[in-house]
Amino acid sequence: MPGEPTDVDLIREVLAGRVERFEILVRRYQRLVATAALRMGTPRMEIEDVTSEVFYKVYRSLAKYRPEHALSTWLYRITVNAALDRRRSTRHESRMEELSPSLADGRPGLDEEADRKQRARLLQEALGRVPGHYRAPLVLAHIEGLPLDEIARTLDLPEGTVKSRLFRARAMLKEIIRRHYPALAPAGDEGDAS
Amino acid sequence: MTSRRDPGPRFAEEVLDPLRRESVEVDVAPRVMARILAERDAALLAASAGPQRYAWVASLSLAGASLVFLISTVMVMVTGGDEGVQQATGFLASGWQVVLVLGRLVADLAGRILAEALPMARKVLALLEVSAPLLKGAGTLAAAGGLFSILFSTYVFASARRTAPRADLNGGTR
Repeated sequence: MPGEPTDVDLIREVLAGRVERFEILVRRYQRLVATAALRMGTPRMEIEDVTSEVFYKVYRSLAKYRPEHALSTWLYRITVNAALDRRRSTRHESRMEELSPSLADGRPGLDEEADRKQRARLLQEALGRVPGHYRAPLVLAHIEGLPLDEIARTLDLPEGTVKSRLFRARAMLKEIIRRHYPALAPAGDEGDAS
Repeated sequence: MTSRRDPGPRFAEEVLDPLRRESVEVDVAPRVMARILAERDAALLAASAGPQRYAWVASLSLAGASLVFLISTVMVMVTGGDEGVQQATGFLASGWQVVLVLGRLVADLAGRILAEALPMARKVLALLEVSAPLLKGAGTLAAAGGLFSILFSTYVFASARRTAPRADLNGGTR
């Protein structure tokens, strides 16, 4: 949209003392941050806390921002770290006992209307079983859709490391689905689920 | 956890598709801005002159005024020939005399001690000068004796090792 200040302009203004301009950045990116936090496994009831914490951290370290990279990359990095820290501190790792048996084991019997939501919830559970440093590249690559170089920048890792972690993360996810969430296995993958 | 080979990106895309469609609508802007603005206001308040700074300034001003008042009072008493001031001045003068006399006594005593001790110290020094070559010779002789003793001990130890009986594994000697 013409006339809209760029991220870099807004950051410069905030750093020059016009703190209230930070609100535009928050409104511009709060959905991205909240969604990324959710996809990284943050429980819905904690999304607002994590999102506001991320923006507060961004504000506190705004002077360290380097304009050669997109602000979203930086936001992803802070969000991934905040989500992982949150999980570490509150131990929200997936707990099977929270699921009803029908959700945990069976493809048949799922209510069609609630299917998508339940699948998403099961997926969150399954992803929660993947260790954090493998989960982050998996989420960034296959849910957020970031290219490899941006994931490497976001996670501050060499591209080779990101690649190998992605290979391993996918293998782990497949194994977790095969063992604990057969309902999530793709249609062509049913033979594996046995 | 046992992991098998990579099932490939297509598997991940397909499995994670429901999560890709999920998004969250939140409005954290008021909360974030309230926190940031509160922090900024607190920082501004801390930087500006607070009540504590005023208290410091007031205390220092009062202390300065009290000092000026005290000095001026003393000056008035001295110039006005106040009896108390005269007595205090007399007492200070007498005290000073006592200090002077005591100082002289201590200096006199130290002088006498030095006068007695100096000739004795000179004699000791002369004796040392005379005996210096003798002491040097004795020192060299002692060092040579020490060296000889070390060499002799080494020789004795080496000979003893050559001729010593050796212990075998059964506890006996060979």
